[in-house]
Amino acid sequence: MSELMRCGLHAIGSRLRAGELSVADVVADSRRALHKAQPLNAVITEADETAIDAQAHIAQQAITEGRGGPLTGLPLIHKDIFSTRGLRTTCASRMLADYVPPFDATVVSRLAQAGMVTLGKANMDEFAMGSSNENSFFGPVRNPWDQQRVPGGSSGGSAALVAFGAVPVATGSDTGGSIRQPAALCGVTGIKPTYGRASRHGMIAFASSLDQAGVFGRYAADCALVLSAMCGHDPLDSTSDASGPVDYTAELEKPLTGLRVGIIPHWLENTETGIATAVEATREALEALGAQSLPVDLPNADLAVAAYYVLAPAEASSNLARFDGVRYGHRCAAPADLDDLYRRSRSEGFGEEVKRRILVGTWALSSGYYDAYYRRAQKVRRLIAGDFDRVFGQVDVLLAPVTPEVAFKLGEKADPVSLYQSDVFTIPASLAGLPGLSMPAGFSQGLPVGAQLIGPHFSEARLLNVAHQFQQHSDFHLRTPEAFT
Amino acid sequence: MTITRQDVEQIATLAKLHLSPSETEQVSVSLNQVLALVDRIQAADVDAVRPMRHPRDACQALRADGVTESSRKAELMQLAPETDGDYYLVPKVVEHP
Repeated sequence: MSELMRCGLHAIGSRLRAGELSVADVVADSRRALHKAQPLNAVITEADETAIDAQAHIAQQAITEGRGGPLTGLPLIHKDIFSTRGLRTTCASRMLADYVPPFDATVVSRLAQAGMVTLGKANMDEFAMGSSNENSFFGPVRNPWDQQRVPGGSSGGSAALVAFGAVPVATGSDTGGSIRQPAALCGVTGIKPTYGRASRHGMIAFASSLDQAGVFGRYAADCALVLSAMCGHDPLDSTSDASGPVDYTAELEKPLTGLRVGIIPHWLENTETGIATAVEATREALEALGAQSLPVDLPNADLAVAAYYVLAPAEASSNLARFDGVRYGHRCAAPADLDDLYRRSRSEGFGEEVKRRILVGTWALSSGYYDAYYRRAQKVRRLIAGDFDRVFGQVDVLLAPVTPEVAFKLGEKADPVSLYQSDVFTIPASLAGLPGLSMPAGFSQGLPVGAQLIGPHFSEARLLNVAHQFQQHSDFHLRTPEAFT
Repeated sequence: MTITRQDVEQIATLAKLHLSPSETEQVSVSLNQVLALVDRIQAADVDAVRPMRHPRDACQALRADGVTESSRKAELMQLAPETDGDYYLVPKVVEHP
């Protein structure tokens, strides 16, 4: 771990701009911490030293010449789902184990333009399919709070590295909870913006009507800085919202007086006691800051996991059809004919969970089942979105648990369906395309607990404001795993 | 409903996946578990509900029909496992008469 990395972007950035530290110092410090974090297996590929030095040099020049912005010279790790020009991008799959993209994802190029220095690519569940980071071709990531436990997934490497203090921030992606759930299990802050807010260009596709890029940080204020730089319309993503960039730091200091917070009693009853207690305490803390809370209900949200496991695999089966062993990616040896080339390349290249989801999706889209499953799931999706619409007529944000339990042990959830339930509280907002944030809110059994904030479309600034205000009056986000101190 | 081994083989053919007999067996079990989970949507009353294809009901955006990309053929062909000049190589698909 590094004390410096734990200070966060604001603090490191001011010291850089004041000339107290050089970009080379900061980068070297983070790289040392990344090496200490090796037992976590959170990194798939480190960036080449020459490439890092070149980025650091450009950043240092900008700072020296007084052109440094709030992110200039600050290090980060990208989830290995984001294409990085010249830097191997595997999506944690054997299929892409040797793939070096010829272009940058928009999120990557925007953060590079803001002066951030990419140190490498974080481990994840293969093609972002998983909730424990056990589905990686490169092996599981371990939770820095207890190495026998999972960090959550799919963005497990990003969350673990921020929790460890190896980097101040890391990117992630969230399809059904892949930022919020690992943020909760690792005790860091993570935000998934509104669907369409961050460009999906160059972010390897899993389920295109749900996938959304976001960020992890120790502090909500750091997430606001990074999100401001990475979001905004991108002509290269046809689902990108037309609105331009937003300064998410502008409202961080706004008082919470009069904020209406919705609590979902039914969800609290279905989470472990330690988590319910932490969420209750968070509600009281927000009330002490001037918010008022009231109970609300999302009657159709109980169907969210079921609808999601039709929709997401259906979209995945379609997206992953591109991997054919012909144009890029894994190709089997000595194919007998074209069909054998396709089938063996795909079967060797994809892991068990990815194959399972492709099969589920192919089945749900096949003739005879399309109406009963795929189309029906899309209708259930509207019911759930309608629940949120009604609730956001009464309240400004929802405060909820992120997960039904704290970090579980590696290998504990052997059957896929029990693992799918880990995302029961994150999937509803994903289906409705809403922004969601997870922030450290306490501990249960010595492990971090997250509280989730969900808001209406495009309410990222509000969620970050609430989290930032909470963090001015709590220290859960400042605690660090003992094992590495 | 239940997914049989024969169903799994048919789905694998459609999905261009090769499954060994033991994989087919395991997949049959886990697909039925997934099916039991997703079948909960059958209980929902959705007769009067329109399907939701985009989480904000947005339409596909259109852009001006102008040239924005230049050819990067050489760079992209380099990513392919097997090529011959400008062509991707695959096993022969057309037989001589």
